Amino acid sequence: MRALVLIVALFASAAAQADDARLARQNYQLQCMGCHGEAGAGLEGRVPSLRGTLAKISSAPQGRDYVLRVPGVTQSMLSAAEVAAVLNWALYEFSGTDAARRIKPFTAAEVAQSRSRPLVEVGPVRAQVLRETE
Amino acid sequence: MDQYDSLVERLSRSLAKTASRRSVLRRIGTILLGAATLPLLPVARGQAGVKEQGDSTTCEYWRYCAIDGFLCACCGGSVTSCPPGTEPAPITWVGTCRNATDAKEYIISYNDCCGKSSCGRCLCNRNEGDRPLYRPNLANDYNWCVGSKSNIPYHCTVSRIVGVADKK
Repeated sequence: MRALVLIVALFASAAAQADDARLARQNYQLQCMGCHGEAGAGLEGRVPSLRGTLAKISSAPQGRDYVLRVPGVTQSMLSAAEVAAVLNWALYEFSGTDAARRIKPFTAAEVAQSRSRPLVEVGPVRAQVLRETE
Repeated sequence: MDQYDSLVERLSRSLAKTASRRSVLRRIGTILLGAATLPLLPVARGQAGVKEQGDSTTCEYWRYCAIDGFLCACCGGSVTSCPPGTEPAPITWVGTCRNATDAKEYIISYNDCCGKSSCGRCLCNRNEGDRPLYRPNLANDYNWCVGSKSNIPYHCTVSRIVGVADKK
């Protein structure tokens, strides 16, 4: 019986994770979707796409640093923990499970630290990071 | 991951000692069946299932709580569709409105419809949740058609439900 209780606890833990994912999706919809779009596709030439590129860029140290310093992260009204949750949710949502699993999850501490170093020239840094992660 | 594996192994062995296979399968089956059938219960979900009341050609309509623009429902379109000859701007601003009919907060995407000059009918400016222009994703004073493919002129605004804001 104790084992069954523990299995139910595991189910409850999975339900809590699903709840966290729903909150991250909601925060994405309220704070990011207006520009990046529901599917994270962005707008060519104006708003960067998150599809595929988020995991790719985040896989390199300089790319991870770039992601943490873009305006949407450093100027967000969300807490550092909420921003980290949105980034981690977006990795899975827009880059797929296989690519997302290879990325170390973003943390609230990283987000909080990056807020004092916002990027000024976003476009050129993104282009450079994309070249280096090819 | 190793710790997780060993935890599951210990649980499985412990369960095997104390319960028959059939009873375990029955209980797990009940849980899985319950989880699978929960979404089938008759509750409103998504845009199609949202119960709502009111006149969508007036500014008081619940979805327009944060709108600033002409209502497409008065301009040959509808609450959610652009009038013929216009297209929705891909960049939008997003807010939440409370639907009095079901007492839920919904996430609303306000998409400007672009391609013809201003409709000029049913101008609404409710601005609930509106923030100054230095918060661009929360400011509704922008003409989002400027962000569309060809900077085509603004005609009217639609209000699409994109989710339920039930988490905090």
